[in-house]
Amino acid sequence: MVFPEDIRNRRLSTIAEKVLNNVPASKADALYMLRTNDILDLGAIADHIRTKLHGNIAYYGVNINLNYTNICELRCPLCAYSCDEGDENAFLLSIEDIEKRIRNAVSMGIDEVHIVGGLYPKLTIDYFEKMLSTIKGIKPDIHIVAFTAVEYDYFAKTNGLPLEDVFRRLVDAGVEALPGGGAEIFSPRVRDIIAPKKISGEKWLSVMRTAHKVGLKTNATMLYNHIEDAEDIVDHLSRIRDLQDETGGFKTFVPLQFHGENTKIDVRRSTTGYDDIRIYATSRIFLHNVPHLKALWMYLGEKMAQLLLKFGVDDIGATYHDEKVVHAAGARTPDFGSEPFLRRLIQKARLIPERTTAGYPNVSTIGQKESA
Amino acid sequence: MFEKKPIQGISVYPGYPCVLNKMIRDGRLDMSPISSATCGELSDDVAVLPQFCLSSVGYVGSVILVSKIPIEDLNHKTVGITSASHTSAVLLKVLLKNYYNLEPVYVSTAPRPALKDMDAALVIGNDAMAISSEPVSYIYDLGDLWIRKTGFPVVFAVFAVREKVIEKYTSQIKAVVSSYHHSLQCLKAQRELLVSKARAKYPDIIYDINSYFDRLQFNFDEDLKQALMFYFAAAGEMGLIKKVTHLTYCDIF
Amino acid sequence: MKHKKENSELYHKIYEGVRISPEEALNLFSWGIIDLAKAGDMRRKMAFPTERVGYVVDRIINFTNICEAACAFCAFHARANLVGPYELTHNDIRRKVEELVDAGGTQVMLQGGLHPDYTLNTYVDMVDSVKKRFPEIYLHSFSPAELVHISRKSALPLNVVVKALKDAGLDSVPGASDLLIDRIRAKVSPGKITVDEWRDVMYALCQNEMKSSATMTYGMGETHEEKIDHLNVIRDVQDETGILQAFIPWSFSPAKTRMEDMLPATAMDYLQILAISRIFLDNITHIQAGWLTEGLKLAQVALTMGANDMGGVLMEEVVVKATGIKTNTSDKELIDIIKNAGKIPVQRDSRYRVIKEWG
Repeated sequence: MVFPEDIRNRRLSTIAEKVLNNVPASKADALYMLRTNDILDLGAIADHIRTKLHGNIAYYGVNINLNYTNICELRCPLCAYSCDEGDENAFLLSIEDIEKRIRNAVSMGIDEVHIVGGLYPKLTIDYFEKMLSTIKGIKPDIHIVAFTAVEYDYFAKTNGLPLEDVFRRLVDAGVEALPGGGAEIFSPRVRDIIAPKKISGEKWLSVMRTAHKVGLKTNATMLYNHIEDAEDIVDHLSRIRDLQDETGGFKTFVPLQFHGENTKIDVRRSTTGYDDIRIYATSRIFLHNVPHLKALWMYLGEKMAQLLLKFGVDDIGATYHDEKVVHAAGARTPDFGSEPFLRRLIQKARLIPERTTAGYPNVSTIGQKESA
Repeated sequence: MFEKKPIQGISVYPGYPCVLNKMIRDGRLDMSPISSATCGELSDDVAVLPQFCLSSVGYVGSVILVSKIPIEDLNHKTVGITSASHTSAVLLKVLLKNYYNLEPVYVSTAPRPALKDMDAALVIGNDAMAISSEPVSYIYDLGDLWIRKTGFPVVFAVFAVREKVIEKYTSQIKAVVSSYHHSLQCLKAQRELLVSKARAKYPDIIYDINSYFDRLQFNFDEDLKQALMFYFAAAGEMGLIKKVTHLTYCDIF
Repeated sequence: MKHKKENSELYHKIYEGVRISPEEALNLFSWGIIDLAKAGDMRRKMAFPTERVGYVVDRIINFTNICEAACAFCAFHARANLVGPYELTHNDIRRKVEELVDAGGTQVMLQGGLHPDYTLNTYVDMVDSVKKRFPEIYLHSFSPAELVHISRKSALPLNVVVKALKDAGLDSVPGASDLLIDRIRAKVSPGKITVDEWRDVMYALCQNEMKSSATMTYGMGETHEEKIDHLNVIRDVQDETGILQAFIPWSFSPAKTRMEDMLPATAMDYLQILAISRIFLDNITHIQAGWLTEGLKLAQVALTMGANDMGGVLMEEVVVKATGIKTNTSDKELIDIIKNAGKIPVQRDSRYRVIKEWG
């Protein structure tokens, strides 16, 4: 098979031509891709891009998730995890708690810590500076990916500081990159229902713009399979792509399947295999300017995550030690996927596993990897 | 079984069935469970408690025949018999002779036999319920086969008291019996606790101990008494045990 | 991603519908998944040109788990003790069939352990008891291992056994094959039939004009060559008898079996085998996606790579459940998934004829 002659679907064939000529796919193209049943053709295009960018490598991480509190004043309907202060399940980690957990995780060998939490007004910026410097103190070369755009905006508000200052202070204390959470779906119509008190999509993008300007690399997420439709997804992808054209600061795009159990959103069913392929492959093709596409095996299950490695995805996520957010909402994957487990999955897909952090330190720039 | 409150004037001696059989025969024990197969030898010396027994109805899990070839093909082949249980050995021999028409060659083995030099072997107890290290072609549950072929459950053991001591130690015997009743009550009421203690004590058993207890019966009812008499008749006729014409039941209750 | 020159001959053979040799099939293991998938899809279209995807509303009734074979890969037999020992009475069985009929079901699969004391009469009575009460229910029941077991226990030739069961009302026999490789069988299931015995069963069924199917349980330490050997046995038997209506690959699930240390097969393994089976088994019309062991997402993806049928909706299935895998589905869910793939769901009968189409 020779790309792109083997693409049978004529519409997808024109998209393949665009890709070969470095012409971005249009929104109409994206809508078509999200609805097509010709997933093999779609996959061929996505795999072509993925291979051009990353060759035969597939990435995974060894890190720990740190959720410092589940008390959150937003109480978004989409969340199965948040609590009010005083709830019997509510918790707030002290610096000592955090130190203990990090020490324990470091002794088991981790490269990175991934920190997010609920919006709790009693926490001042000092708490976060202390948290970061404590962590850095335990392992100075640990990579810290910390706080979503939603949290930074909140810190700025509750501490009465300009956003840039918040970034500068926390970067000084140890933050090296931002996770992509809080994006959900940008469309206001949907956002008003699933996360009405959260900052708007516009605001989220604006916070990221500031982060990129300060020199931080960030991820971006997208929550799918709740009440959004294909147009909402295309809109979301567009806005990410546009901002990326402006700043170049997004490292990785991470679509996340919504899990409805224990949340206030009633979802008919899980996505199908075709649905997942459509979302990920379309993301890969449309977001030509975002280097990495990640499929978290804990959200998707290791079977789909492995399959998606040949449909556009180059990173399957990490060995999580303490994943509270997804398991509260009914994900049926094992609690702990060891490093050999992930490496084997990748090897069985006939790719070369490479352990990395959110910064992908061994990857230089887009397009410099030899294809297979 | 797990928490023993000592009874005045009684000392308890734990041991394997074959050891206990011998000790009560030699007069070193006054009261003991005894294998059904030894009843013949002891019938003049002991009375049997009418309330209790150790039996199973159908599939038991702890008495099995492992074999390299189908059971029907065991004629003139080597079958290992462990010395650990006389009753099960007799059971197997009666089954193979009377119901399968087979004349295997029986050899003695250690309790956990390796099938290297034999075609089949009897395995009982914890060894029957643990994971075997070798791939075994065929496995037969003797409790299941016995009830299908004969229509009777298997009574593995009864509780015996030496005749000579009954009058002298009547009150102690009664005390032991009520402790047995109590123990069975505990099994009913605190099943989960007992099961978890058993699990902790025998970590090699992959078996579900809880459902194993479901299959054991301790209440010596009429059906089981008949099952025991049938066993005596079948085994006695083959000359495998000393003939038992009657069983004396202890009547102090 | 691009094919080397020597592959293009194989590529053309496949796309022209020509039978491929076992050596060529081996080569397919080195193809990229999308290329392989496209080839599988092409061969599916040749074997089954419509976009209909069938499913049957059925029930597996496991009538006993007391088994003299005690295979290493089984978590269901009484000795594994994850499911307590049991035997269903005729009443129990009839009650379950009634539930199936009430749910609109059409097919019953009676299957059980190789009970040491069951004879031909046991099975004949069982079949008779169901067929008398429910003459419209299709009995696709037992397995090659069970038929050989009956033959041995009753000291009757296979032919006689099959005829007796057919006369009592048995309609067809699933051809559960595990792995038709004597090396593996001797290691993991010595008490189960040999490859030759499996073949003999197929011939006996053929002589009695009964249909069957073939399966593959992969992921038990077999090599690629052995996988192809397995498929080759099946292809040859089909050439000779023509009775195999379908082929179903299942991945072996090591949890809670005596082979717990075996590393489980991955998604890529499954799809690869699925596509290669479709390409190699050019004489079998239906390839089922084994959703029970792979999950519904992967089974749906299989529809694009060579599978054209979803198999049974399965009201109750105890054997795989004993390993801890929790998958169940309803016909509504299957219909939804098939439509989501752009295909047409059809409820079919056991002869693969359409009962109801959900256009």
